[in-house]
Amino acid sequence: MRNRTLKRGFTLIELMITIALALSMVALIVPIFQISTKTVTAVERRLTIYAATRNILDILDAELRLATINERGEHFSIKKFAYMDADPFTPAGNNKFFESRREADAVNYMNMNPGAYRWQANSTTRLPGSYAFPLAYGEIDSFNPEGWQVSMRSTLAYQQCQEYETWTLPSRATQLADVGEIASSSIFYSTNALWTNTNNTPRINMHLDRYPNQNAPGNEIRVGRPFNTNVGQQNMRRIEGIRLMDFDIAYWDDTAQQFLNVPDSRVVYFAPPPKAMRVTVTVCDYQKQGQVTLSRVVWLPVGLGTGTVTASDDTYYVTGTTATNLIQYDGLTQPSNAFNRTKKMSQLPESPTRYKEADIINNNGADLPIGWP
Amino acid sequence: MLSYSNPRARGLTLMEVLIAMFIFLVGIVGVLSAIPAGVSTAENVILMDCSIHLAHSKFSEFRRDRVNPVIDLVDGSAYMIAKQGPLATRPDGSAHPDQTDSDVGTHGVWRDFAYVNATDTYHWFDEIQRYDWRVDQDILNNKIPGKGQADNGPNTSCPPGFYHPVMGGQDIGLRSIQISVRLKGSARMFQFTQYMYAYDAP
Repeated sequence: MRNRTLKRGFTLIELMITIALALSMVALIVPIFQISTKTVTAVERRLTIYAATRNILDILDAELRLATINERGEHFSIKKFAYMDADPFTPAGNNKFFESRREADAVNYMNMNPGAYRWQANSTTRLPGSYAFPLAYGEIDSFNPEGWQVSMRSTLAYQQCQEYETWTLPSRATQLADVGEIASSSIFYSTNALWTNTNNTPRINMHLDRYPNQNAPGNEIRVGRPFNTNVGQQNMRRIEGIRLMDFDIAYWDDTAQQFLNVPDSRVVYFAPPPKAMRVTVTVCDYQKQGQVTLSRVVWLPVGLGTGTVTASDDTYYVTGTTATNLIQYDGLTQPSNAFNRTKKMSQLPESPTRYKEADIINNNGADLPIGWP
Repeated sequence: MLSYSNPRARGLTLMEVLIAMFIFLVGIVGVLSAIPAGVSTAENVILMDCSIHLAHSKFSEFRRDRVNPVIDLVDGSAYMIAKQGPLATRPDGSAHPDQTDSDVGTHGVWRDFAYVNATDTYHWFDEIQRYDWRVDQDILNNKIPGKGQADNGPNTSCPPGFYHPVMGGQDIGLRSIQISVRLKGSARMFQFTQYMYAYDAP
């Protein structure tokens, strides 16, 4: 039998007051939690974006300082591309960085950087002092590369080729519809491996100087080789994948005392390189809920030039496959007026789903097709 | 016999409930108060990030312009006046109170990163108007002691052709350059140091 006589519980009034107070506290605390959660989320997202921006600017700064030039006229070039995106994330308008205009520049040069991780899983044969993964994918067959032919660009300018059967890489149209798809892409070809006369046999018995002008105007890296074939694995390393809405390269004009941009759809081959560059990037997160635009001035140790672009030649850099159309043909007919001029580029082609330049590589080492800007 | 209630038990009084709720509220407020501290720390990280970009950019500018640190990086030099940003300003262009900080006489004046015009180097850098910078003048005047030198004293005997700092040779303007980047109007700043020397040294 239960004893139900001596216990006294809450009165209804007490209960109502207590519930009212509890509800008041909840009503007070929940918004605070919501605000706090939103704030923390926003801050974390912001930090992520800043970290990505720092990463890409650090990489660019470190790599660009290794740029070199030599007596064969290997160049330092900046290509200027801009496209209008169709992504509602960016407000309509043609102003740089804040609106629908997307900057997708490219900088091409040669660097002296002996070695990266050799491409072996156990890494026991790593070259002393070389980069470690993931800063660099090394190469296999070009044992001691003297340097690298470099192209730093955005995937909006040069879409990556399809590297794996199941990996569908976004076309330019896809990237312009979703700016979160645009990424950084830095490609490094071993200079040794550029002498391949078959698709997988670098002629390492040849000295670098035996093959001139591999990075002369017109021979810079365009659409990259796929990494998953022996052609790619054996002779390149890559640093890529940071989401990069804008990649803007300005050069220092010592006369104007300003950083200037190459006009749209133009290329300038500098000789010697300018004294400094300014790299400006806009980075967003994958969900496109935030973005930041930051810049870094990069001093070029080999930048001895005034950076003055003296003339414009809109017909010089054209698409074509015959010698008469080329900026540079065989390394022996280097035009004396190739440098420090603004040259118009033809429209970039969409990247093929299959890598077409590889066909050329496989063709007994014939030159890459000139005219693909 | 099994009893399901304690006959001596009584319910909580309203006062007890209120006290319990108050304690609970104090706890919640304590937890929430930590969040602004986290946000503040995050802001500091962002300041650090931006400071890295900005200070590195300034060092690159100095090297690009082939400065002689001893001459060109002194406040009031022709280089600083003509080539570097104006003194710290508010967004409306008026002088920022940072200009009159008590340590300006010792450490140097605060400058803006040039951003007002589209042709200015830092025009596109997000929220650039929030930061100012300076070359720390007191450190600028210190020579780097070389081998055999116990202090930063004058250069001593050394065969011609030997340059500072080894054995106190000829001064080639080698200095430790310290750049401070600061969140305007606050005590938050980060400092970065690089060695530089004069490009036109003999």
